[in-house]
Amino acid sequence: MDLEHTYSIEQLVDGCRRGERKAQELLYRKLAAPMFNVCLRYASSDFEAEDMMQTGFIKVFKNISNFRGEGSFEGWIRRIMVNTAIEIYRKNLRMLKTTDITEIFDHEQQLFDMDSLETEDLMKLIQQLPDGYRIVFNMYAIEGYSHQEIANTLQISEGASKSQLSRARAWLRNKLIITEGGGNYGTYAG
Amino acid sequence: MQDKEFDKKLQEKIGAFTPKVPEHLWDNIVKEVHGQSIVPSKKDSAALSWLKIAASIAMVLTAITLYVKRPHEVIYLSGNKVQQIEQKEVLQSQTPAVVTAKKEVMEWNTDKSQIPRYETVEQKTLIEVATQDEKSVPHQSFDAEIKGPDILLVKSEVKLPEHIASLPLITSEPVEEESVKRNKKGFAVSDVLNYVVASVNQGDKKVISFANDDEGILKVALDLKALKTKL
Repeated sequence: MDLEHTYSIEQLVDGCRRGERKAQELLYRKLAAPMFNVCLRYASSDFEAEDMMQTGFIKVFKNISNFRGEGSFEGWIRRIMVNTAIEIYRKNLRMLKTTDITEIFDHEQQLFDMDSLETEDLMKLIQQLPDGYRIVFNMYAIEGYSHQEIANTLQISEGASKSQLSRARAWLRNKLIITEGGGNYGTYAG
Repeated sequence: MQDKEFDKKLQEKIGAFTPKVPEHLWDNIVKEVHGQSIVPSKKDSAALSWLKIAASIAMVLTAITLYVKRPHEVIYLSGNKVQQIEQKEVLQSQTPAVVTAKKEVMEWNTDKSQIPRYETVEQKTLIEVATQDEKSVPHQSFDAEIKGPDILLVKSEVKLPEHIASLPLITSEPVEEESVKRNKKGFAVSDVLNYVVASVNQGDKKVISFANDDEGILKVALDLKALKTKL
């Protein structure tokens, strides 16, 4: 009998508000995988992703009474994970690294067929992005934040956010070509 | 357009990815959320209470077992051993001797009614006499006296000359023993007191006299008539 399917998210959230350990465990089991996916994308390593995950869920259980149910709970907890990743990034005093524009290959005219690429390899590539590039790329390309929101969150200018995003894309495209042996899987769209 | 398609492709690919979550993460989260005072669930508390009860029962049973099966403290005294061994040797040698003596007495005295005391003595060995409870025996002094014949009977194993052995056994009458007892009681307290008050008594009329009964209780007899005459 799978107990996770016998309770809805709302019931589990109510149980978590009452401090019930079983409800907390069931909620964690239900949302651990997608949240760990988020953490893996924002972290530079699996170890750092675990640290984010642990810190994020502790925040969730301690502040679950602040969730008013106005949006989806999964969206709320995802925002907590992203904020946790940003806090860790700031805590580690990582400076946004700028990459010389000459190091980036221009592949604007290429469309990559990423269906043949393993997801785990893609995640590893994202983790290898420079810290500033990775956060901006995740927030904009995956999470859907605007440049203004990213600028306010990271306390940078919108131009810096756009620049970081552009460089992140170029870095990934370059890495994908190198990984696949010089663009054997890529097709030129242009 | 190329950037948006690239982002969309990445988003779809990453979104479908389901990573494996390490198991130890939940344990760490629980420790952090609940701290040291982890509130157990009802099942956990019930199991914990049963464990406590089982542990208490086990402790009680262990204590009882240890108390019952505790090692007995044995003190070995070499003196006791020697004494016991010597006593066994004496008893082993004396038991058949008494039986032998009994046979001889039976041969010498065909008339059992004449020597009832000898029969009583013959039925008792030294072990029985030694282990008799003094309180259970009403006549302790009597038992003490009959130990004499036991020893004599043992000694009777010695073969006497035929001219002596052929002589009839002279039995002592019980009356004579009573007289011996009376002679032994000559120094009783009552006799001493009677001797002291003899000066007060005149002739056969005793004003005051003392006597001891069989149990040793001192009795005082006061003749008021003689006392009135004396006064």
